[in-house]
Amino acid sequence: MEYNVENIRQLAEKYFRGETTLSEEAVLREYFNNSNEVPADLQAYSLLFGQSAKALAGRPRRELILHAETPRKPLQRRRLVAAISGLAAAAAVMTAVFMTIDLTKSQRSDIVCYVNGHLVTDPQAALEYTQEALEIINAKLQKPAGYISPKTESTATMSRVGDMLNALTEENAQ
Amino acid sequence: MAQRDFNDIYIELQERIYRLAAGITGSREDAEDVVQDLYERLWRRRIFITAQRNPNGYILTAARNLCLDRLRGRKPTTEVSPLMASESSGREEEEKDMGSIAARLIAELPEKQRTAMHLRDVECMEIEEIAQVMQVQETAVRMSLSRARTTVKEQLVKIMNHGI
Repeated sequence: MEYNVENIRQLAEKYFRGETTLSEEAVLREYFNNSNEVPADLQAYSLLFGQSAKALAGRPRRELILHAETPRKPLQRRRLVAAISGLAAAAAVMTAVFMTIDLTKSQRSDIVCYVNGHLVTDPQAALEYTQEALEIINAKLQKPAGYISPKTESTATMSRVGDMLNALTEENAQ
Repeated sequence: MAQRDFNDIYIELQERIYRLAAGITGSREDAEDVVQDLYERLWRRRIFITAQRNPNGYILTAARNLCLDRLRGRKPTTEVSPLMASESSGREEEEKDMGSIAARLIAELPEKQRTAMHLRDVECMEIEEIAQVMQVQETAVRMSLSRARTTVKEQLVKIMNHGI
């Protein structure tokens, strides 16, 4: 292959300025390693380019001691496992949320009381049953001197019970 | 792109690591130690390395850093070119070999210039890749290259004109 020496000279100057591309450097390397007629002013460059080829031949004599790679699971399988794990985690969270909601709800709807042997959940019914029970008690008891009227006492008690039941009902509604 | 095993990547790179280490440390034995030591160090981080966009660049950067650590911990001695050291025909004969003189001149360059010149002229790496491995700007790589090549050229011309 024939080379334009002037072109090589210009490329060499560019090379020493650090401005050559890899392909231009390959041209220089080829020229200095293969040309039999290198001008005297360029002969020093031959040593430089010949050195690169020599350095490239260097390789370690000692054998590299390797660790065994643990075989990786196939990508599809890893993705499937990740998807299932995600779904399971999501299901667990949802279950926990529903259980909490249900527990709160059931606790509030199970507000009951027994009045005179009757199971009562309605505040108004509770009031009526209580009044009825207290009137029976009043009728059976003798009225002691200075004793506060059982009617008055029972009315006040019923009023307090009613207030409590109303408060519970409002709380339950929230 | 499918992820490659760390061992495959390292085996493919080991000769380049060796040559880089030999160029920086100036010793074949040190370069061989670097190849094995670096493998052991990187093995623990292999999952991170294989996930890298450019694992080769990462490994070569680590190789250079390990070489620099070794140089810092080494007692000052006269550096010998790995290529000169590898020749079994004796120093006197090597001195007569102009190629060996070029190798010695390269070995005497400052580390940055030596590494830049090695990665470009021996490994034929792009300036961008060299900058990544050396963790410097591309302009700094070009400057190091220019200085290194010019220094070696001037020394070679001087030797050829006036003898060793």
